[in-house]
Amino acid sequence: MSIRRLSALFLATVFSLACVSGFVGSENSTAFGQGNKNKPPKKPEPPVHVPERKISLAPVNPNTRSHALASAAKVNDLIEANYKKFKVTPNPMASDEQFVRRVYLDLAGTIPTHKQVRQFCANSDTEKRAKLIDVLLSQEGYSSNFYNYWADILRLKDNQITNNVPGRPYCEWVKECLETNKPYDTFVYEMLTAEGKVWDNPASGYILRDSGMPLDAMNNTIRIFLGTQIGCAQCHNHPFDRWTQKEFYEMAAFTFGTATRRGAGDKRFGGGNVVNKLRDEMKKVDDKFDGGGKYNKFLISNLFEVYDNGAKLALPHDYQYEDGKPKQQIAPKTIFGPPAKIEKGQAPRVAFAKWLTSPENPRFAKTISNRLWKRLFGVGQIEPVDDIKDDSKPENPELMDFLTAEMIRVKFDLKEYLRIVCNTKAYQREATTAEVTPGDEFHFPGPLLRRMTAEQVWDSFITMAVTKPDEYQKEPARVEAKLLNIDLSKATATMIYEHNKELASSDIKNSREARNKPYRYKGQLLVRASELPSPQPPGHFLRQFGQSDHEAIEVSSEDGSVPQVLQMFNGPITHMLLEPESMMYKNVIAEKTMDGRVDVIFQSVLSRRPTTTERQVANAEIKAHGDAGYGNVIWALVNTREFLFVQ
Amino acid sequence: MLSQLKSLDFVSRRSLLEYAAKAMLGVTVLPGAMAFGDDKAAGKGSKKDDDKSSGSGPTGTAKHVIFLYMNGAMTHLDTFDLKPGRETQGDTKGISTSVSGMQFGETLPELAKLAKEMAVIRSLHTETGDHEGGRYLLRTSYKEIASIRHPGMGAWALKVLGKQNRTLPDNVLIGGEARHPGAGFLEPAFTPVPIGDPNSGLQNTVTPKYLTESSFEKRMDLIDKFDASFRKKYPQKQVEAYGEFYRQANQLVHSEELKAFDLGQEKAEVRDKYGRDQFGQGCLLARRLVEYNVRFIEIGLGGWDMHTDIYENAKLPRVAGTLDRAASVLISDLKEKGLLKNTLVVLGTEFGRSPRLNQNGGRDHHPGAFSGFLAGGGIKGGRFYGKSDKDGFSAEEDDVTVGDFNATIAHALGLPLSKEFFSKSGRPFKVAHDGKPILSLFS
Repeated sequence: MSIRRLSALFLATVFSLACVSGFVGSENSTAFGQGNKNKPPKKPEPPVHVPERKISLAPVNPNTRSHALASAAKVNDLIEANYKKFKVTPNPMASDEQFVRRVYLDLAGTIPTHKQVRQFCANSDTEKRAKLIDVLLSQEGYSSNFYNYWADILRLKDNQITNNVPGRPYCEWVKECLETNKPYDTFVYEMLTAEGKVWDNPASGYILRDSGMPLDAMNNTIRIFLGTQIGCAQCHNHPFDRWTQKEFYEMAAFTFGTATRRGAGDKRFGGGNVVNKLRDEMKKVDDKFDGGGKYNKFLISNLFEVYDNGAKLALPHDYQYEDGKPKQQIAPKTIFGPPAKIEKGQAPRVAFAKWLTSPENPRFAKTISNRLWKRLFGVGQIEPVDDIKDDSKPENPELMDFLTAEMIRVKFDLKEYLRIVCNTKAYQREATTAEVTPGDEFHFPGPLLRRMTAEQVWDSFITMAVTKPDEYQKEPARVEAKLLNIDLSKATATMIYEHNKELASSDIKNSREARNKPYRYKGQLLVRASELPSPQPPGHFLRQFGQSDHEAIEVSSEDGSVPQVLQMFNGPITHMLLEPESMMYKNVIAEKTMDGRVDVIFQSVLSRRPTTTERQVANAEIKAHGDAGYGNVIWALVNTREFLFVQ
Repeated sequence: MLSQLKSLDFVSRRSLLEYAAKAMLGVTVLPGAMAFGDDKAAGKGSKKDDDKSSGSGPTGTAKHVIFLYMNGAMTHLDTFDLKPGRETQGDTKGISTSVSGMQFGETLPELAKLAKEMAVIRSLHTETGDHEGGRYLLRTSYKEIASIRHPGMGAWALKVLGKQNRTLPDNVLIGGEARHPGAGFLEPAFTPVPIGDPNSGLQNTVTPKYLTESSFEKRMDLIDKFDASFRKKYPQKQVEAYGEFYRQANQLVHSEELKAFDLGQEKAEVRDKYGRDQFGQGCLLARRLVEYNVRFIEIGLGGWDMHTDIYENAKLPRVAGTLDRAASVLISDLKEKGLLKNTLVVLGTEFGRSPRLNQNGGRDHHPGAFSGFLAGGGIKGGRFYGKSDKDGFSAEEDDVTVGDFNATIAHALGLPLSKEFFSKSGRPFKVAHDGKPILSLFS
């Protein structure tokens, strides 16, 4: 039976609706992936240059594995001490099938392919789990997966982080920091001390993200990096914690003298209002220009720059407490830990950044250790991870201390830290079957059962459907940066006009089209979530499954909903798995027997082989409906809860 | 004959599918979280006790709200707050309405005929001239801050009153911008279901043809068989919740009520009457949803941010005309169908526009005074409420804050205004942030 014939049966009476980009049926269609680069197209066309960013991935150090394993053993001891103390029976060790799925999802952000499952399960090396952890930490799945994690926390937006300022350079910088495994303390320090425009120093995106909201910005910084909420004290003494409004102001005083925007009348732009001046000139160059916002992406965005102007913070005019007077000027002072020493001639925020990221800071290493623990186990040692109080008690104080000490020992190398935790027995046990709700006593007999994040669901579908999903990368920030980044003191209307024209030029358009075309299916770009613009619009699959809108910190959700179900039942993302061009289809077809095909389907979707009963059900379905039955089995399996949850 | 019928059916299903493919997944259906929502959310008991807090006096009779959101800040001087004879009036002329002494801008002739249904507030004022800040404040009554997100009125209504329609989503946002505050800190289940294009309605409700088992039950059966051991092993709420969503999705796709989202059910003349633009069709969809007992619908109309040449190129008549046509047909239709007394139609916007024309012949942002209106839902129409000063700069008489405006909507719905609701972090919030409802509008 020819493949074409079989595919027709496989899809039964599939509609040929809106089959864009030759995904189905057309002769020159190729699978997803840039594999078609090498295939000559029908008509020779001039090659389109697709700019790429060079990615350098930092592998884990093979020489430190034994140390990591020793640390994991120490964690085992501490956890087991608590099992004893609280009379907890730990969960059984996870099977290879469970482990391989979990560790792929946790480190690479996607389920493994059926081949990866088979390879791992067939391997008889006793160290295969530790080795797989190292492999996954060294591959690009790691940076993609943790990019999604940080995008939620840092509210990353490609489009605009503040008034006309694109977030793309900053997002790319965050991704690069993960690729090169920049030590976490350096990563944070660079964001807090960045100067300049987002194109010149993309780390400045962190401060620009909260442009015009200096008090909120401090609140966010303390919450994200020190796991502490002082926001309530912005307007009044904190009702549930010990912070006073004065303490809040003392903290905010560190960064209040950091500005994010230059006035259009700033002397450096040559005097007068440079924006108005250029707008007037633009009218002469562009006769369709009405003086409105058309060129703001040049004129306004280039006013935004992080610099220190030394502004002093004062208490509000209605300050009501006795420890200060309304409008009293406030000197910077840290809320806990050793004092931050401001060196002469140094901006206060530099001292603040040093204080915040120091191993001496009582909450910096602790917060990130706890956050990543939660990422792997589903619940932190301390909860909530971003609301630590003086009297917050970790589930296992000695363990929390040890984890914090390890974070400091590995010098904030997050891969090294994850390596330790993934190698613990508790992590490699089965997920807890009973329901655990916040506040319940839980001593880590294993991880919690978690629904995949929105990005993990999406990326898992991509893994099942696309040939080489990791090859696609977003357009590098430099493509637009070199046109958008202008010096307003030297810019002329003609130059801006030309730059604007070039932004919309066919060169850029064609290269975008060449980049995206092989990955497009029914209006969707089938690429890793981290390579899609962040965040996606509200109706997108990712948003339906709970991706954050990146307006507020960590608002992603793993809750279910009816639209998710409708999407799974009837949406194009499940449909695509049944297309003849999908990886899934090809893998199934490559097997000759029904049993072999059913195995592929189960291992692709659930990373395990079917049970005897399941095989009977699948076989019956296939016998009753012919080849279309395969489609039904695939469809039914991605619709199981087992697929959506991480055991 | 039979075969002809079948082929017709085929075509219509196919075109529906194509719509779905085109506008791609632009929906989330309210999961109707009552079954798995946290608690008292079902509104049992709380309503009566707390109603009193909104003040004595007549209450609204609104079971539904249709919120017409004028995106970009609608000019008050050219629509509902005319200043005849003043320079700040610009080129717009007033026209008389069905109520003597009430004048609207000349671009609103159809609404003018319905003035007797409308209570027009001309003394609104707000705190910010920033679009996003203003929109957020208008929808939530709270200032936007980074540490928490506040809920919009639709989410509040669901939280307090529970689900009104058992199968359809009860909070719907038609053509809204991405930055809607949604459910804020409340359960994500209360987030409005976004309908990007009213012409394509609710998506992914059509079963793909390639599945040989056409009925949901049979498909569920196959899933259940594969899923049985997993569900048995993990008897957890988060797992079981999906069972509930499958059940609801099943109910929804089989529901006759799904037709509510299908504008194809309306006669072409009716669709024309509303205007074939997104806002017009959105208003028609809103009317249909109200007929199907959906509680809260917001529809956006953009294009009001008129910084330049407001009186040229038919800029103003184009946008105002779209509003006039759709909103007037909507109100008349609701009235004709006997739905207006239970449906509050609200028009709101983030702020007003500057009374003085700028050098580009446009009007800039102006938070000091702006207008909105309420109709139906127990509101007594045919009047202006509040006044701005002689040039439309500031609210002068009976000033109305954004909180007051929202409190009035909440009052119409019977929502408690003094009851505190707590976010996860334990911070207290109220439905309209201590705004005072304008009770006199209800009598």
